[in-house]
Amino acid sequence: MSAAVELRGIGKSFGETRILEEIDLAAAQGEFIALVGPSGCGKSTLLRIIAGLEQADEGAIALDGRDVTGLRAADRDMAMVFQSYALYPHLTARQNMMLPLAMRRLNATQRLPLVGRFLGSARSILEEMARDVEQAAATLKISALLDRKPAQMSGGQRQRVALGRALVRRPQAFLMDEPLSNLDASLRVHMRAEIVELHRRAGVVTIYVTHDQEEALGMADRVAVMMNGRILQIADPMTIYREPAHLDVACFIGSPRINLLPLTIDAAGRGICGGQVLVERANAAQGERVTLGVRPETLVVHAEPQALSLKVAVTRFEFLGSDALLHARAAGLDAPLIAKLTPAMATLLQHHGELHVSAAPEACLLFDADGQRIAGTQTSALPASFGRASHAA
Amino acid sequence: MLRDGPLREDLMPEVLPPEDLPPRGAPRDAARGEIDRHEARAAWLLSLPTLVLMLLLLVLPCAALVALSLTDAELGVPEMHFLGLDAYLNLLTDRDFIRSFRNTAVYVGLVTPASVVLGLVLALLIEAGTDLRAFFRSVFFLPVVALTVAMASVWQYLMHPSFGPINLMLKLVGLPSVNWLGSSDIVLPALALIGIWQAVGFNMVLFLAGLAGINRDLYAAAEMDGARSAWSRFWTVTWPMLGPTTLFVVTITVINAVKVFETVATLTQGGPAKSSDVLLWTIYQEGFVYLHVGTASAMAVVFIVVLMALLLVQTRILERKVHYT
Repeated sequence: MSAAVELRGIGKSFGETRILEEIDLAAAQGEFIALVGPSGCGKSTLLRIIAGLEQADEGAIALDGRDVTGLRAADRDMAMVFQSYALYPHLTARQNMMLPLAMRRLNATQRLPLVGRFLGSARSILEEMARDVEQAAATLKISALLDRKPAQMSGGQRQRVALGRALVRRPQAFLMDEPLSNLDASLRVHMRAEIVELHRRAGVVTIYVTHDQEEALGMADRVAVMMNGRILQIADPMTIYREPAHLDVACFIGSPRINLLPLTIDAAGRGICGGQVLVERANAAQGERVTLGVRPETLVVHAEPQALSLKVAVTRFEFLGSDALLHARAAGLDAPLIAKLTPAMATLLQHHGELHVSAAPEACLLFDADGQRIAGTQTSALPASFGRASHAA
Repeated sequence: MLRDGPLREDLMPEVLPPEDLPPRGAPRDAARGEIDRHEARAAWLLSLPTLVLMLLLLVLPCAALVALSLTDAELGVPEMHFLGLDAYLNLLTDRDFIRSFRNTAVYVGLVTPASVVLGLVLALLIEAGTDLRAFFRSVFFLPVVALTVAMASVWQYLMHPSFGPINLMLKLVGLPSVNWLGSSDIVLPALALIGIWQAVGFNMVLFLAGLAGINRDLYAAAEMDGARSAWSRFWTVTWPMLGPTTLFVVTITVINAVKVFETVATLTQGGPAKSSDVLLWTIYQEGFVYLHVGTASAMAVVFIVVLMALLLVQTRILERKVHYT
């Protein structure tokens, strides 16, 4: 079966500025793909190119094996949900959801006000359209809102109408451009689940742009991390988190941020930070500049010095309920280190002014001077089933 | 602005909690009432200067106008008589007044639709273009900033029956020349042409501002929804979103057209044979040439009432249909 959406070598410039570079992406039928990255990384532009609202300078786009590169948005049979919802403010929710159906199912004369409905088969088409709208509205639980205009609805209700407008014509693909970023936090978490459920029920490929890594990891089958116009890695959420292919991916994904320690490599191939050996086998040449990344929850805290541990001065403890964060500084390092602990552990350690941290060899992520992941330092804690469909771009 | 506020609570109280909850646990006791009275007094005190100024500058002149309109006052004649409503009944039978009223209506009827549609078309063209946008914007705006009286002399030359460039061009293509400002059938359309020329630039600028305010996502949404042609995008997005702008443009254009005076005063003086007599020109003649202050005031009152009625219709009926938020 061919990919539902396939991008090959997409490139785009706005004047002198290179926005997208060599983007390859293949979304399988029914897959939920999140494009995540900091603002300005090109993810929204990429989505608009997939939609056909912008034309790429290079590369090709195929839908179900059909090349649509030259086709305009109206001919691509995709639906899009916008960050601003982009509902027509002069139309009721019902009319908003009806419009994409009218544009596709009725011809120009049938769309004329008043007279149109008496022409040809318009009446039966109109009835069918009304039924489809009612059905989509029922799915989204907005049947009671159908006769309101957008101005009379809350943000969450408008969001649902926007989803309904995309859902109602059963497109080949859903494109969503940060659809939840205008909602408040609790509603956002709730809508995440609803969108995933809608996606599952519709069984149609969804490409979802977000700057929120939590959304991306929580909703998507696969996450594409974009930075500076490139896709740095496409993989399932667990792989993205545990096996980042690039230092930028490691930094962008994960909260609190991954701890970074600059290492120097000695003659024996050991990684040294602040005069202390932290990594026994770094897989790098002597003198090379290597960065060690350790997730806050894999940073191990000791009261006494251990082998492969680094002495740190405690800045403060932060209690967050289910867990606690230790903020500390190591001599000669600019960035503070953060360790995620159980509250019990934090209580035990909270009167120490000085602690020692280390990382298990399998939790150490090493990156070379260009930010590329150094092979041979794979984490081993991963169950085999999580490795599916992952590849670094 | 939410105009249909009450609708929310009637329909869906459990989905949308009412936004304006009464203050919780505020007993309306004597102390509270005292504070309210105090605040009311302060509010009146604070708005007093404005109220006095409004009374002096806006209400009193209008009241004086209405008072004068009910008399047969003439400048320089010491005695005047109270006519009451007869003053207005006289106007109804005054053929000059009725003619100038009708002429003004014709003029407004020509200028408003033409300059609104042309202004919109120009704005759409400039918006769609890529180069020279600032240039076209400035050029079409020139008539707005040009002094009408000065430009009238240019138009007088252009429309001159024997050596005016317009007639020379007509002759060049073999058409008969037209006595633009001297023929009683043509003079109103000719004046309207100048009025359109004046109003188009301003309307265009207003429409450009309106176009700039349209959320670009709406066009993207319309495209995704299947609006293929510029025509259907215009009717799906541009036209409804320009509703408030269009209402404003029409209002401004009507007001300005009803107030036409400079071109009439400089080019035709109401002629030939009063065929370009318009309201302001008639009022001016009555009041300042024949010094019939009473009659002029009555005409002015009718003028204001008609204008107010037009505005009221526009704001009350149409505004509800064009403001969506």
